[in-house]
Amino acid sequence: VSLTSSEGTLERSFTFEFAQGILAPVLSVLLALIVGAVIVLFTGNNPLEAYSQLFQGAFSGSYNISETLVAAIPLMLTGLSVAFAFRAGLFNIGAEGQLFMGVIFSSWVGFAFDFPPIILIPLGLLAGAAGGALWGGIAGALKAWRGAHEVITTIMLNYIAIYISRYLIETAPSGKFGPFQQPNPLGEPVARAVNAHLPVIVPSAWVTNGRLHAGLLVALACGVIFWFVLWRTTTGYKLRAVGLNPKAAAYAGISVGWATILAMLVSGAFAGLGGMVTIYGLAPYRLTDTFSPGYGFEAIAVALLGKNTASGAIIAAILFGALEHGGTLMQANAGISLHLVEILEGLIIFFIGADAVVRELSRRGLVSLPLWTEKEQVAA
Amino acid sequence: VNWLTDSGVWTTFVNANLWQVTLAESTPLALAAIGGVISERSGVVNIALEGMMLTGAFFAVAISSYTHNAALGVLAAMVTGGVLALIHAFASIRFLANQIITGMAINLFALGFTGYLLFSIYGSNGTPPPCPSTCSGYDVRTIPDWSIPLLHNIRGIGTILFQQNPLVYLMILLVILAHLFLFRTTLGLRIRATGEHPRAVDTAGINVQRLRYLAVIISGLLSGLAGAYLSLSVAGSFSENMTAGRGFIALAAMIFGKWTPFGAFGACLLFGFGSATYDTLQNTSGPIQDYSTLVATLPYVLTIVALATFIGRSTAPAADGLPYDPAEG
Repeated sequence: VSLTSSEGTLERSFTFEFAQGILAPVLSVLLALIVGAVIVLFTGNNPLEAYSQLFQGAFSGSYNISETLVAAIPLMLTGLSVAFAFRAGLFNIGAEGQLFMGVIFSSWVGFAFDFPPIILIPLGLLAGAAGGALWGGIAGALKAWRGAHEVITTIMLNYIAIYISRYLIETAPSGKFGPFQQPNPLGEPVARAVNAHLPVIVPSAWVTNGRLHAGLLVALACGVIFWFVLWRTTTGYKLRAVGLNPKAAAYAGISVGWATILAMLVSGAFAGLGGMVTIYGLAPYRLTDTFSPGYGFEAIAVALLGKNTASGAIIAAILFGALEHGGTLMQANAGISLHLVEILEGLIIFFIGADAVVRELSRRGLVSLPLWTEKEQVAA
Repeated sequence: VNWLTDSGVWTTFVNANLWQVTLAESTPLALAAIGGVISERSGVVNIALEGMMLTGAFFAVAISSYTHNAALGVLAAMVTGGVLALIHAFASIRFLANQIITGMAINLFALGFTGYLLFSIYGSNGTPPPCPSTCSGYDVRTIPDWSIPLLHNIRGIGTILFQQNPLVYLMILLVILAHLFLFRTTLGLRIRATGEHPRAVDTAGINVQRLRYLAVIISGLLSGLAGAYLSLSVAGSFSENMTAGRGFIALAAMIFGKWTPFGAFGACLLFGFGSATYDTLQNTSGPIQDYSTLVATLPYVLTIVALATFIGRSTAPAADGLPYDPAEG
């Protein structure tokens, strides 16, 4: 059975991959910067000033580069999560909930056991991956066995995970402490902190007070796992076949249900790890209401920008991390709202999705690019 | 029975205010959800309900503050929702873009754009306060609740159904109209056919693209209206990300309700009931209050259980999310 569909083939020519993989995102970023500049101009600010502050904030000096990477770590892992599910034809909007479950599981392990870091950190990683995999797996199983649409179940699971985490760290109206709380020296309730921290991986000689933690290595390792599983194993081949055309895959003897559950388990595990490394890697080393500014949702943008590849997701996460960190400095130094960053992110994704717009510009000779002829559909 | 009263369960649930709030909370969800139903019935996935709602909420306040006219605010909300929908439609229909990607892009953009405008126009103080009795300066004219004469005095039912915001009554009307539109008019039939088999519709000499533009723009107008309800009827102001995922809940309600206006409305009532319960429990005495956060997960758990048991396979319109290229095959 030839595994082709109108959406694409399993094997593509190198030049096509290159055009789709590199040029389109770069052009999307450029177009987004242009439209963003118009918006900045209309609100009476100087776009050049905004962009130069943004760039300097993200990349000038080793401290800012380190902070950009810190901001990118959870986005790398959640981005890999969403991309992995996309590859199997699943739209995982639930990375946020999986991230929270990863945090709930791993922070419980982290404060319940008082082992040395060499044991506790691997345990925490396992717990984080398990929590995320559980949450992703529920959505996968419901889809495989009951045909429940993963978009709706993952949205529901997001709310459930977020409410559970809130319950764990809130003091009840009667004054009873939440299950994850304990009294501080003043007798006030605080969430319990984990007993091991991920080491900082930049020497203090390079970056003073650097916060870049070993979560980066976890994210990169997951990127390698992502690539290896999808492109170097039979299992991965089957997952991608299901993603491209479930009917053809089923005809070729692949169990679509099995692929769905497996993809959601792995996807959830990546997101759960994203939560774990944030808790173990950064102060205050405990579950809080605000530890995630919506990593799981930005992850969708990261995956799309990265064209659902491991290297793409990691680079896209760094770009988004740079926008986030650079944006805070831009707001402080140039008085331009940090929200410009979300505007840019939205525009980038828009131009990725509407790549025909870019092609149209190219056809009219407004930009000169090799024409790409095949359209990539990421979601069924 | 003693347990029921002592735990606070009785006073929480046998309480007209809870059901009144349920209907109010389900209003923005239902407005967006029926928009989603119409858009997806035509074959265009509109995951950007959230962004359209949020943008509508902002412009409702901004225009109402500028003109001291709430109706103009509502109109502005619908127009901005419609404009975003037009962009989504243009990308999806004219450029055959991936609808999920452009939808997510619009959500992100709307989040940034409204936050950016809030900061640039109103600074860190937020939007101006609601008009006290007469409007001055940039006060925001809000939409007060309106009790329906006579009917609102009926015990229980009167409180629940007839002491609401005008936009709540409008929502109920629109749910019924959407049903009639989709299932009792020629245009509705054509929209549904476009979502199932666009090629057949095209072959019959009907313009697929025009139908889809229409359906997507309707969903934008309704989402904008939902936003205006949140900012002008409920909050009296605009705050960052004030829709807080309601567009996604509306999307879930649409699927849960099997792409029908009444089904979606029913699902919205369930979700509205969840948030109403949470709000009510916060102010109820009794041990149940301690578990209000866990109780708040109930509608989401119920949705999953329902999907896993009796609702079964959710079947989207056959051509939902697929770009239609008239030049092909």
